[in-house]
Amino acid sequence: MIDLSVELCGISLKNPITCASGTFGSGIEYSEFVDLNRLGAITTKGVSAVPWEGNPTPRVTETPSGMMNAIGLQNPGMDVFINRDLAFLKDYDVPVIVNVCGHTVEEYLEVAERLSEEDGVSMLEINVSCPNVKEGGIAFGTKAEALEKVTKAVKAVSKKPVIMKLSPNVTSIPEMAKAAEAGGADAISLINTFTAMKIDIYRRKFVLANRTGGLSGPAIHPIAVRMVYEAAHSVKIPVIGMGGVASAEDAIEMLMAGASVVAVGMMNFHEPAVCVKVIEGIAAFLESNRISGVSDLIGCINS
Amino acid sequence: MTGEQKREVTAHVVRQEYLTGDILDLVLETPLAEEAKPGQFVDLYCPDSSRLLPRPISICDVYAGNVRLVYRTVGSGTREFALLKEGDTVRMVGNLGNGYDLNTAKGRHVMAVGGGLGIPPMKLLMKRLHSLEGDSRPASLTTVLGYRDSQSTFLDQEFDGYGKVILASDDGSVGIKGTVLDAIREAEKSRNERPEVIYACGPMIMLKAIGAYAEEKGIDAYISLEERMACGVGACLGCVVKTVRKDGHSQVNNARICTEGPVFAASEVML
Repeated sequence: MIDLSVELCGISLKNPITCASGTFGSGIEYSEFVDLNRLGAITTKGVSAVPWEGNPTPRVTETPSGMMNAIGLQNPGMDVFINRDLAFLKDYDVPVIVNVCGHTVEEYLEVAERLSEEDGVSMLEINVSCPNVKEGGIAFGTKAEALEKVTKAVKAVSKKPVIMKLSPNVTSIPEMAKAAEAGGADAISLINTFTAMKIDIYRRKFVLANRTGGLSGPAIHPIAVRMVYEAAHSVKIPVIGMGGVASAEDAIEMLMAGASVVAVGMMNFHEPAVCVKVIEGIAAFLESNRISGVSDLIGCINS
Repeated sequence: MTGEQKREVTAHVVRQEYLTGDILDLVLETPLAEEAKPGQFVDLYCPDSSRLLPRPISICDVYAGNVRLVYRTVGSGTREFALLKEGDTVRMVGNLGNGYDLNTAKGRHVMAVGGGLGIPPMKLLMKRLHSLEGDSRPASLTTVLGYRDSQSTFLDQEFDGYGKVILASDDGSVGIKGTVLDAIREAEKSRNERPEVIYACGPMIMLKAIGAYAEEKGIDAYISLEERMACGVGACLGCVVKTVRKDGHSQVNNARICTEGPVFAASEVML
């Protein structure tokens, strides 16, 4: 009997696959393509205290084996999120990780406190790594001291486990991972997108209205694996690994690098049912290699 | 499960041919044909796995289990589609977007306006409007098509069965010299013909002009928009348009073109 289940912050997941924040809405849109109950967890798009407009368009563009986005965390705010999106997810038997964003520490705390009181919320993922908003976001996620401080503050108000989502746009991943751990984070997730730029040479203009955007997709997968490995080997708390995961093989790489849970992001846009394909592929890998459970894969590299 | 559920399918290529030097006519066999509404689109995936985002292409026509797509080769992805031939398969997601609301045509003088690559969706729209019966029927149908020149015309022969057809071209080599707006104003001036509702798809500059004309004359206009998209299904929030009123889904003045659109009342969006 193959055991796909994993435990994350004391919560049991059917399997180690979730969706990366921002690539799956709140699951409503993809529920037409995927049975949401198949996922290990649903990770929602970032939620703020009040509705956010996001950035001007164009907000997305394709790049080789990837894409860039600068959505700017458009979202309907936590009231509508709770009454509509969370209410929708209550009909499913799947843990919900809510991604939390804010411009200031106070905003993060307001959202974290309120959402952590909701029954339908299993964990919070704190987005201190969005490269596309001017205030907040990445400003907290690229300085170790600021990261530790915001982690501590969120932990003090949250009634649910707290995952800090880290940016790859830093000099040292271990330093940031340790800062989150020192702040009391229950887990860390990485990587968010790489700050990138694309220029339309015929119009001599930036392709994205925001000038820069976050690069994601299979193009960045090997960098993500390295960073997940570095993070997992510098802290004791669990790691959620993500970055260009397109297949079961990619997800297994993340697990072997030390991730306990793996998120599938941009590839949802390429193949709406990709999460299920990855889950089934992991099961097939375990079976054909006579491995009894996913936990045997986590951090197992022969050296 | 309703028949209108969005889904991923593998479609079979029935045939593909060039209509002009860079406009292709692709016919795909897919069950999506049955449920397609005028103004909706499908997302086509490139065979090359380094190009991961789907290409949104408007539905030109449907018949006998087939979806017909008329598109231009504008980049590496569409150049890949140009190589598809009978017997090949292509992965796609559909049917996407809201489409035109045919009820808005009931008993009214209707004008469909297509400019360039905005022409294809007008085909299925006019076909469906023309087939309406009884009280649902429009009072009249007029099609206005805009081209660059006589070398770039396509689909211009396909609207004859649905009512009056007016052509316009930038250089006057086919139809009226000028824009579709020039043609619309000319029809009003010389023949006192004025639509009660306009359906339009085309370049942004044309849609802005249609919106301004409709506002000036106090008539309804529904326009189909495009924007760079990623998911195509309403999840990523990449393709939004500024709206006059707060959008119910987003709670801000942004609506998703792929989901609340691509067809919007011109008076409801800020272009």
